[in-house]
Amino acid sequence: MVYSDKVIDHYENPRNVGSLDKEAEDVGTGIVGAPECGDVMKLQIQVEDGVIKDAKFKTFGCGSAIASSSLATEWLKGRTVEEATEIRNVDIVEELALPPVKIHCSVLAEDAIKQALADYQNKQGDEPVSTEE
Amino acid sequence: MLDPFTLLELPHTFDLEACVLRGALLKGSLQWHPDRFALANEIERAEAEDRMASLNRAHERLIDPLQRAEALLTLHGQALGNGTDQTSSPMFLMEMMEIKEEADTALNSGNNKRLASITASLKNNEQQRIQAITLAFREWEAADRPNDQLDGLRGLVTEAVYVRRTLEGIRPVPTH
Repeated sequence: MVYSDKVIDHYENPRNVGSLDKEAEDVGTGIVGAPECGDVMKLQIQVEDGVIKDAKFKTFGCGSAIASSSLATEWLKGRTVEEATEIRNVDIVEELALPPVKIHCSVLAEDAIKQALADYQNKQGDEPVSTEE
Repeated sequence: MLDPFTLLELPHTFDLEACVLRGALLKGSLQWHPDRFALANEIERAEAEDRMASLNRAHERLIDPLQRAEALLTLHGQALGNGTDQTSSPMFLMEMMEIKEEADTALNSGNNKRLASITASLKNNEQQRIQAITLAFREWEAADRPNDQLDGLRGLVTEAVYVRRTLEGIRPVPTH
């Protein structure tokens, strides 16, 4: 498998690796996995006045899964919660030039974002923002 | 592609003893072993090799209870696939992540003793899950395979596959 330069860059220098306090009121946590490859991905956002101030991830998986979640945290920072729901896996596929066999890695990242947003909104007692297209 | 049970002319059931599987493989070998095609033409020989390889792969899958359970789920439209898992609880996923982190730490600090103990505990975990899967599939078949139990079975198999993949991932060399 040949990885694109962008995947290799994120893999070798992952952005925003780490954890936020998952009990904090202003933090939303998403944790997702794909059993067949055994990948597990945790993605967290910290929100202030409706804007995502910080995003962290921790992923155990292949290069594409790490790159997808690393890129996702970069894209999340500075967005409003509303805007964050607009991130689609196809955008990640395009940006990282993922081959078809690795598309599920980008789906995993999108699902982690959705879960993190839902968890945050749940804590705020909000109705979840629809992530359907 | 034929499912492994059909390939080996076996019934679609979880309860297949190793000797039954072995017998089915031998029966197939009698027909397709390449030795029997030593004097045949190239096309026939190639077909026999393909058939024999499929039979061996089917046997390998069915001899392993976890892969046998997966094959049965696939036959019932519940293939695990490589998509996002919608069944496992966040708590279970967090537990898997913590084990992976611990193993990583042990690996990076060259703590082989710790690594060995993590591996042993995962193996034990996998065995317990396979026992639970065995019981659950037997009960499901005894109850005439009710569809409403499929989700539960899929959940059990999914978690066991995670444990196995986590176990396989504990190696000094990255697998992919």
